Amino acid sequence: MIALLAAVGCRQAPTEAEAEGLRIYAMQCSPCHEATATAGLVVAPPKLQGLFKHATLPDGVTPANDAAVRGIILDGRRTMPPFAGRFSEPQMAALLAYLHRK
Amino acid sequence: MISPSRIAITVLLFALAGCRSSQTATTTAHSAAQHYHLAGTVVAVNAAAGELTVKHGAIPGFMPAMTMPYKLKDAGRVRDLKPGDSITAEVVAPEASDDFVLDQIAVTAHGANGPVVAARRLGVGDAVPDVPLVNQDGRAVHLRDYRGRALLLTFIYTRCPMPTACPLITSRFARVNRALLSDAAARTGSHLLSISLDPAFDKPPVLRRYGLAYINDDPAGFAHWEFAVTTPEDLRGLAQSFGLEYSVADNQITHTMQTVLIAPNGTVARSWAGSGWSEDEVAAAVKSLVPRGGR
Repeated sequence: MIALLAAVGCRQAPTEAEAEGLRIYAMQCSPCHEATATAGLVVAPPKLQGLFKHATLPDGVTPANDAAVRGIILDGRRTMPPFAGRFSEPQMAALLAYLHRK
Repeated sequence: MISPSRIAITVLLFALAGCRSSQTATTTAHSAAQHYHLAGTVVAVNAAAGELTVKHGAIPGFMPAMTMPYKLKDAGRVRDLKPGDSITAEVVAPEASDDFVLDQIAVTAHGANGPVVAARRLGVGDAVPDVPLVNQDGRAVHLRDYRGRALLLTFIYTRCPMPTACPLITSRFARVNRALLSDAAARTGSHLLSISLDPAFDKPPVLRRYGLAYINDDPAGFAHWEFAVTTPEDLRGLAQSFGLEYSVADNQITHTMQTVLIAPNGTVARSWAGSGWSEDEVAAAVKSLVPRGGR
């Protein structure tokens, strides 16, 4: 919580899309990517802090851009399940907007 | 099952609120509980917990369309509701709290279909029916093919997004698998089988991709741990045999968890509900049934 506060800091207030993206993230992504409940998983889901602030995604290979992240969300990768059919296009855009802010 | 996300919401909302407070009145401050209108279909009723699993459309300003369990403000209302009922309700979301509840529930249409429930559950010592399956390589297999080995069987679906459900069960199986492979007799005298709850999506290539992530990407590992799918009808029968309940709505499957140990003679030896079982205990139980001396 402290880390999150520090990370979010006191930057610009979130846009409407970022706030919507946060809600989607909190419901759909954070159970694996934030929680401590993943302790029993053989492959630890990567943290997504600053996802777009590095040249590559946490795999160290894939370029960190919208198309790549969108593809992974929809199709899944390794132990991450596919989320195709669970997001509308505006929801996906909102989620990406939030991930850019992280 | 959803408590991690609830906690995350609370934490993240705090983080946002912390940021907002330093801005000058960007949005209206919410002082009391928020109310949101929900319209959806009852997927499952948990009378003991006073809980309802609802498949609902997007709730503007609150959450996207999804299937999830809710507590009821008036827990007694669960008695009036059945799976398949169409309802409208108010979601009451106290500020900075994870205690969403449903209030003002109105049934707009009564459903005809109930969930899949156990009709004839097998007990210890009962023979397991033979069921045809297709494995991750697209090869036809039957449950009877595993006679002569101790078979540890469970149910998962690859699109399961809950880290406390299928991903955890499969991770636990990966550790049990490693323990069994390190024992010479168990390597040949036991077998693991993960059966999909999602025949519509979990075709062999999907199961293969999913499974490889848990066996160090070495397809040779499928010799000891297979991922298989059957028809929706046979899945229903198999689930009933093992007391597993599931209900399908959209891309989400709400399900209970059962892991079953089948003895080399094809009868039920033990079963474990949920995901809280001990990997060591299960591995030891499998090893205790491995045929010794004859192989």
